[in-house]
Amino acid sequence: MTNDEIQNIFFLECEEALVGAEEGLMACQAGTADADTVNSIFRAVHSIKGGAGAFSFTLLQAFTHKFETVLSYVRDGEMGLSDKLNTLMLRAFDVLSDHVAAVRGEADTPDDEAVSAQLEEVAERAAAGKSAFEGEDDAAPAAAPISDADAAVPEAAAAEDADSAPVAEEASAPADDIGLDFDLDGLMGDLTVGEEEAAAFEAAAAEVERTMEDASVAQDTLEAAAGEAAADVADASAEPANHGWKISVRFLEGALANGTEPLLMLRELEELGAICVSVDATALPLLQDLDSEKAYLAWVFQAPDHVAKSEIEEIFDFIDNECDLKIEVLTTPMSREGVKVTLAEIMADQVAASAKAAAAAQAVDTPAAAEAPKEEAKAETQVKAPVAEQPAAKAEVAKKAEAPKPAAAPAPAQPRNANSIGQTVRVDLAKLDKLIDTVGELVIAQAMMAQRLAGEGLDAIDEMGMLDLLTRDIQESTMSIRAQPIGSVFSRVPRIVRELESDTGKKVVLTMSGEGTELDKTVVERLGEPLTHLIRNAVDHGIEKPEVRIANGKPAEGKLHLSAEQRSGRIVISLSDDGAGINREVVLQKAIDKGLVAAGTQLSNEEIDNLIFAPGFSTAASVSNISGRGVGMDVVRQNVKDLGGRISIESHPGEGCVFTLALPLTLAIADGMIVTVGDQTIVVPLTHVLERLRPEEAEVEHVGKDLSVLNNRGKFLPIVRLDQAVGALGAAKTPQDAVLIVVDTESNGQAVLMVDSIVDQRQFVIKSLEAHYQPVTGVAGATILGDGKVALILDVDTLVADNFSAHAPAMAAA
Amino acid sequence: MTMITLPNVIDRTTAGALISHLDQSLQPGKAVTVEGRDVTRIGQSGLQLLLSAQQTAITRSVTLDVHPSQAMISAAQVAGLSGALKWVGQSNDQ
Repeated sequence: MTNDEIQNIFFLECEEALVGAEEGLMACQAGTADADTVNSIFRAVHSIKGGAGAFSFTLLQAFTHKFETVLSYVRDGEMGLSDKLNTLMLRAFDVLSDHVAAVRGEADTPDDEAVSAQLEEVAERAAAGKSAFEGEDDAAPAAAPISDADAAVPEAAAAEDADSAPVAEEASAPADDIGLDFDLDGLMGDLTVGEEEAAAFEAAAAEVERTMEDASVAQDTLEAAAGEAAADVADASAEPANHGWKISVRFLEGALANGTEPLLMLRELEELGAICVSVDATALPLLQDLDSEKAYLAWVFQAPDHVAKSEIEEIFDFIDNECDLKIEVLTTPMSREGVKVTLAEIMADQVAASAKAAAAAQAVDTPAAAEAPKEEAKAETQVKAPVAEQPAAKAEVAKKAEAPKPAAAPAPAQPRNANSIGQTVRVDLAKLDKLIDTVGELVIAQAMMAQRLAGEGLDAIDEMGMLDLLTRDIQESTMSIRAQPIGSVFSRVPRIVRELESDTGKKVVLTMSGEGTELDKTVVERLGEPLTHLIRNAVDHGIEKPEVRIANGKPAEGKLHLSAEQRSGRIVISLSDDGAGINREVVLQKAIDKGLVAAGTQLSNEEIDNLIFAPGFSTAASVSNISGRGVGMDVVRQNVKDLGGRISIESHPGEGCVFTLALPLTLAIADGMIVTVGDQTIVVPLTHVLERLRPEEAEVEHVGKDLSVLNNRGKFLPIVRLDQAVGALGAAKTPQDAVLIVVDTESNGQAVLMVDSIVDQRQFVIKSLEAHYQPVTGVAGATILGDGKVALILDVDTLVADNFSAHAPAMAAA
Repeated sequence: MTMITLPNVIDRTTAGALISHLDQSLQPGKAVTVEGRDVTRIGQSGLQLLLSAQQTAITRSVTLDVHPSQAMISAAQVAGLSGALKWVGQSNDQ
């Protein structure tokens, strides 16, 4: 694994941490935060800081430090949450996101001066025992929602003060500063040593990641623990209180040799809020007897009672056979007296022996003598542990030497939780795409076999049905691997709304649902831009200013709801607002003024609403930095179309507007209608198809020389002759001899495609023409049919649009 | 005075190499300075080495000054050894 790859892991972990932190901050804002929420935000920010330090992202590290400092005061119950503080923390989060984007090379370094200054000011006030902002009630912490839980575990909070107080001071390094450097540096350094170590550290990284993901489990445990703690406080005299956990850990002799880095685990303990109370270094020999492969130290940590025992056990889960771990209930309050380190006593004879050994080494200054002092010292120095009577029992000796305290009996090995390991696997995207390609080939091969068997009259055999089912299952499973929850796109929305609120002075309450809805990774990645445009449009144009809303009898705060759901094999994303809706008179007039629509044209409400997607259309009186450049909605439609999706509007003047995006689950395989046109076989994506028919002669009318229109239940639709569009030979010449397919398009409404026959309707694997040949107007791609022939996939929108522009005068006349 | 500059990474491999180097440098009557400013990563092996070296220096009546990097200080804190490791320029208050 290269450093870049490890850095990418850090970036991915940053993403996850940011998502977690934002959720927590939103909960704080909504007033639903508890102690664990704040703790999780703290941990997320802290993790980013650690990684930033490891990779020398100093600006990111510096900013996270300030943010983390404020969070530590909130976590410790020394500062209560308030609207102002929530706003500041959200702003800090936004800046933090920008910093992360900057280190990823995706954005410029943000200007964090103002937010940093505010964070520092708040931290200073907290350090002085004041409320976060001047004028706020200094007793705020007591009223804050998270403080109840903290009150139940006062020792934990008090013990953590020791860590958090120095954090507030810029001059001194915080107690847990740069802690995660170890994790990532450890990964980097030891990975270069060998494969075994690499595997061990990857396992460690996975374990860290999984532990973070298990927050929901921890939440349950926390609630139970908080409840118990509260009960303890209420009836403290009834029975000895549970003040947390005493964790005794000693790594065994072979732990280091196997690539385990104990500091990683100790770091995780600290992240849980545990503090080190003692270190037993009595087994540590002098240099001449030191073996760098051996672990000589033993630690005792104390963890607060809101930490679940299982959380502690999980840290040591995957090295449980390499350490003696004992977790006991802590019956006394957590220690606040610092770390007690016990070193081996240095005896007079040791000093003498060492001096003698060193003198001997000095006297005999030859290379051969280099090892001599070591041997001599070994012989003469009295080692702390009793020398074993049986030299042959070497392992036993080592064991005794490392466990000098009989009282510290090895704890029974903790049961290994098989389920807790390997929950997720990170896979190179290229490998995944290769798999999907192969599945695509399988789909094609299956179609070819089906066609061959059909030729032999065997198309209805059971085995073909099973193969069809299995192929579809494999395809869906493979696609689901590429699927990602849309939440990663939705998670950016709160920030966009916050910024818009600040820029426009409008108040918006954002709600979201269906964040867990999954769709193809590529779709998710490319959805961000159109969604951003839509939200900007909704807030800038849709939702009215508070005073206007109040005057219209609406609440001052506008509502914006973003939802995603899977419906009939497509993902439907809706953005609804309760704003003013589309002012159709203004839109139509603007369109006429801009020459987009001829004056006097009668358009339906739907057609007028769709004008906002026309290129260059904008109703904004002035161009703001939010919207009004007249490119936004056009870009939205194009982006959605590029994704194989469609966008529609439903506007109710005075009540609001709903934008609905219908997107395919995947970009690799789609459903299509296979048609023939002369000597060509063509695929029409099913998403466009409304109906198919064989027209009566009376239903077709001719307009001008080349244009025919279909009278489809009173609505005249232009007929697009596909043979002309694709250059097919021998196709049907009149609509009456052909099959007509009514399609719906984004920009030109409905139209009719004229084909010779419809062969089949099935899934097809999309092969990019751009990748294999070059982009061709009117063609979205190609696919391989069951008979091995290549068929073009129509780009219905472009084809119909071209046809409209070619026949514009005739259409206008019609 | 003997000056030993520590490498960027002190894991069990580099610690193993440093043991004999330090052992030979800690001669009675000599002052040894260990420069750790370049250390970006140090694990348990490294901390054990420095603690053992400190103890060895005492037994041999050698003056040992260790100039730690931020990564070393941080590692010592994680391991609870900030108080035990008497390094130059850092407060040992826990």
